[in-house]
Amino acid sequence: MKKTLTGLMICVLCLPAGHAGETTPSIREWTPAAWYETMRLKPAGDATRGARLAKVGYCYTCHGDQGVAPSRNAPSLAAQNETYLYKTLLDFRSRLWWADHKDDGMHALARTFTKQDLADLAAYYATRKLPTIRKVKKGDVHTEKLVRFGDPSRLVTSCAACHGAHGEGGVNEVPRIEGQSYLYLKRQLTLFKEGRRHNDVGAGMRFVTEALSEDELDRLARYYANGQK
Amino acid sequence: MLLNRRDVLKLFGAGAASLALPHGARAAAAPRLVIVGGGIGGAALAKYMRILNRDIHITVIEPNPRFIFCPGSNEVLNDEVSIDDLTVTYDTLRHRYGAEVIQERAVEIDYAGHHVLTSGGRRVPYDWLAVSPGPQFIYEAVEGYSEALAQGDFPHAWKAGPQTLRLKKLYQSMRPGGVVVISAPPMPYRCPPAPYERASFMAAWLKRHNPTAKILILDSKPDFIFQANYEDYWRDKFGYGTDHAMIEWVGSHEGGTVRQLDPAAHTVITADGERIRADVINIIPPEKAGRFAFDTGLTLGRDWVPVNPYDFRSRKDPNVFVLGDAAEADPMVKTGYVASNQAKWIAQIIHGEMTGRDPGNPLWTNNCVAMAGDDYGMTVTDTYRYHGGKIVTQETLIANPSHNPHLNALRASIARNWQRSFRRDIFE
Ligand SMILES: Cc1cc2nc3c(=O)[nH]c(=O)nc-3n(C[C@H](O)[C@H](O)[C@H](O)COP(=O)(O)OP(=O)(O)OC[C@H]3O[C@@H](n4cnc5c(N)ncnc54)[C@H](O)[C@@H]3O)c2cc1C
Ligand code: HEC
Ligand code: HEC
Repeated sequence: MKKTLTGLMICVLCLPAGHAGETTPSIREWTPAAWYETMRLKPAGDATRGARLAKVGYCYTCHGDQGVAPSRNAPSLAAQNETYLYKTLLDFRSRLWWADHKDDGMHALARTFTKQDLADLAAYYATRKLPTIRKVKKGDVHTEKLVRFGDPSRLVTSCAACHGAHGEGGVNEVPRIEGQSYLYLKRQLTLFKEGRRHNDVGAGMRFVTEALSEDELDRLARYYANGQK
Repeated sequence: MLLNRRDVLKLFGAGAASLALPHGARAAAAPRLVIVGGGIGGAALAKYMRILNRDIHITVIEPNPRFIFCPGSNEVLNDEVSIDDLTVTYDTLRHRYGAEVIQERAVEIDYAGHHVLTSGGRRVPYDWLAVSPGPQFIYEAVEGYSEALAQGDFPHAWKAGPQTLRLKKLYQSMRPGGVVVISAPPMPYRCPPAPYERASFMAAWLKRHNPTAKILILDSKPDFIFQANYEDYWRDKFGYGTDHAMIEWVGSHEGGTVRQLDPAAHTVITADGERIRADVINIIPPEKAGRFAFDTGLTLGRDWVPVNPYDFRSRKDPNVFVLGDAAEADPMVKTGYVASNQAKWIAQIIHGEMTGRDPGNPLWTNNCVAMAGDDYGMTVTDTYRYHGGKIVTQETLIANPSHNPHLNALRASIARNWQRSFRRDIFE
């Protein structure tokens, strides 16, 4: 009897402790409904406050001053779609975007910000300017076709339909892809194809990349990188 | 005997002609580097020696079929990392870097005959010998403590492996409100911030599962590295300095030195004669150079192996290099990173001797990380130079305590990355 009591005591002590600690974030994939609800509740961003957070958050050490990436190690954030920036920061915070150890820094940082902070950071970077890149040569005919028309035989919607005629970004969370490095774009397309990046709502990008060959993805990455390595 | 340039040319035999021979035939005549200890120092030397020189014959003598990294082993206590994550084999050294690995213990050096003798009775010939056996523990420093107790209910867990898992089990199954005593050793010992990192990780787990438990750090030092950082974090998370503190620290100036263990009473006795009973006792004993260094006379009557501070040749015999924790290389700290830097440098010295090229002036670095929690990291970088017949510290860059939570979290991710890339640097 006494033993049972002690046993109970231990459990009583344990239960609230388990709850007081950090709970592992649930990393369920986005359903369109959950995402629309999150978008609807997104706080309005304050770019001035975002500028300050970008400074104390050390974002510039990897993403560059004003969000223009100084190297191929991290993407540019300048002139990126604000909703997309907010969404990816949420995805790092919940670790839904967890492709490999390259994301560690983003996981550690995103956790230290509130939703309001993330909205402010997004507002700040969305309003920075990307330097105009000189247009280099066009893609080959096949790549150009995928970009503009897609490939109905494989149910591939054209990139332009979502990402805009020049890859400048589209509605809701569709990001700008023009202006990133080849290395970054190739990495993301590969991660989507392999399913290691799976934070896309309704598996949209996974669906597109699954149908395309590695060679096609490589050419698409070069096309949008527009001469940037 | 030191090889001079002419000897080396002779060693290469017929020179140009031998290049035409198949690799195996040439290997027989190749100069031989033998390495005792396939830990961080030894493995790094084997790998980087091969990267510099494709001809040298490399043999590693190491009794264990696998190596378990100590860096990252405190995270095992907090369920963040498993022992498997920290375990590597010698396959890459064998297959990618063409090193012969003899799974035996080295027992003796025949200095005159240039041979190492192994526990299996082999005589392994060398032109250069490098010794990286790590430390051994001075159990006698704490009366009543012993290796047998360490392997039982009083693990030190200062070498990652079964003791790490044992310690984890002991503190995680402690009664509610139980007490853990950690006895931190005097300098020098491997990885100076690790006792405090260990206390922090245990506290994070206890806070969730046994919130009235306590950790008492009894220190044989009056202060420790990153002290301000740790105390900041402990104040923030564990009520440090209050009556409800989960972590308490008692320095040697306040009588923190542990002198004795009474295992039957689960009690430690401090320098002041105070008896402290605890549920879990983790004594990290003081250290000295590994047994092999004593048995072979390399220590020359000291606790660590005296070496020439330029090239890490032992004072006992210049054909025998000593590196890693076992070497007396003040002011360098005893870390895996330093061991790997010494290894890279010794590879250059040997390569220089083989090719007649001057390896130049060394720049050694220590690049070390520690964590207080998964949201709080610390980094330190030291650079060392050889100057005026000594090793001198050139510069130290240390992460100052910061109240910026973003920076502290970023530093934790840097620390994690460090561990991953460091393991790869040595064993991949
Ligand atoms: C908890 C903890 C955390 C740590 N964290 C870090 C960190 O974050 N960063 C860092 O840089 N360092 C860290 N260290 C320190 C690091 O582990 C050591 O400094 C490093 O391992 C020293 O390398 P070494 O080659 O001298 O010895 P070891 O790596 O210990 O290797 C010695 C090897 O020699 C073998 N050996 C011994 N005797 C013989 C013999 N007679 N014949 C053949 N083989 C023999 C042993 O089996 C062993 O494999 C940590 C240590 C601990 C305990
Ligand atoms: C240690 C380097 C580092 C720091 C510091 C850093 N990032 Fe990142 N960030 C990255 C990397 C690398 C990626 C790409 C991850 C991948 O490819 O999986 C990334 C991706 C992103 C993305 C997604 C971009 C896209 O196009 O999909 C956003 C948004 C972002 N970071 C915002 C921030 C903000 C805001 C901060 C500061 C609070 C910050 N980052 C600090 C390295 C960093
Ligand atoms: C159906 C709409 C749609 C189509 C078609 C589409 N995309 Fe996307 N793409 C998206 C969305 C939405 C995202 C953002 C996913 C997320 O939430 O992280 C995205 C993300 C990306 C990214 C990652 C950007 C970054 O900064 O990390 C790349 C690269 C990309 N798309 C390239 C392409 C290419 C190339 C094509 C054509 C083959 C294409 N996309 C077709 C909707 C689309």
